Amino acid sequence: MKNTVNIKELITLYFEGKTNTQQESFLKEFFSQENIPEAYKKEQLLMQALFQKDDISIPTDLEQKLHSTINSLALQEKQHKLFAFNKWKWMAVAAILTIAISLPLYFNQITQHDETAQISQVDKNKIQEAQKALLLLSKNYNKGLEQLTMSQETLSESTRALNKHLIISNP
Amino acid sequence: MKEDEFKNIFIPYHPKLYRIAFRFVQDSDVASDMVQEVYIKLWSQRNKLGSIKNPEAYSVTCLRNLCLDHLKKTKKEISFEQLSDKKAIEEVQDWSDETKVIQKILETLPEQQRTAFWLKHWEEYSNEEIEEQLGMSAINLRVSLSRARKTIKEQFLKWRKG
Repeated sequence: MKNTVNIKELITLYFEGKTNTQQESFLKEFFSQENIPEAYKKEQLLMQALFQKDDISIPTDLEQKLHSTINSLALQEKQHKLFAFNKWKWMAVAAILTIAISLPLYFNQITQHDETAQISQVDKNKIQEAQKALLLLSKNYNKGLEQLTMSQETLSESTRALNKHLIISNP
Repeated sequence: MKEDEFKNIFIPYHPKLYRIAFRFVQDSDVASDMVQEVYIKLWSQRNKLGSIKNPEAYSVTCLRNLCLDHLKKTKKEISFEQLSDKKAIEEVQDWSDETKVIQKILETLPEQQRTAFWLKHWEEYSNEEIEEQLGMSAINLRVSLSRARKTIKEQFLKWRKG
């Protein structure tokens, strides 16, 4: 009787979604029996159908397909890594070549720059000589200018002395 | 995660994953494709999978999402509203096998109720596992299972009377 009451309660709980796995296993086992109390006979077919698993057969080649898929993915990844490694290797070679070509060009440019610097020094010397020449010219010009000023002053004094003498002689 | 480790963990789930996929898409080839797609996705995420507590639940969740995306694209999903109770019963009257009747009624249920039922009854997952797989709370799962079972009972009894 107690068992029957429990079953009734369990069925109610089952349709309310409140049963746990153990209680559901108990119900499944109970309704799978041939001789159950008459009160549950009308529910037996439904409960058996509810607990009856659907029959889905797994394709035999699925597992093999999955292994192949994973193997293929792993292989692709390895190839990708290898390509990535090769890419770095080629980049390193390109970098070395660039440096190998660039260095002689760079040093050649420095040498040319030094030559340019030497030419400039020659020019500098010429400029200095020209400056010296100009300075000398300037000095001589100034000297000439001073002499001219002195001559003008002497001439002015002579003129003044002559005028004075003329005024005295012709009152 | 290395190739062998990945295979050892995930390959044993493939029968369950296939059955779940088949129930969604109702086509053997498409179900196989869905399962393979899940494994490709899992492989691409394998470095993160070490931190996942339940790889099986994670796989089922991935598969469910893929199947739902597939159904959205192909628009094959039968919504609960599309099939009235009467039509569902009329359709299943031809079935002689009770299990097939249940399957037919299940097709008319909303996706969440249907999946919760499959996982609980046919894959025998615990409530906690289903909650994790479907991203549901315990209360939501209880309500989904309750509604699914009550609808099945109601329509099954109608079918029996008919």
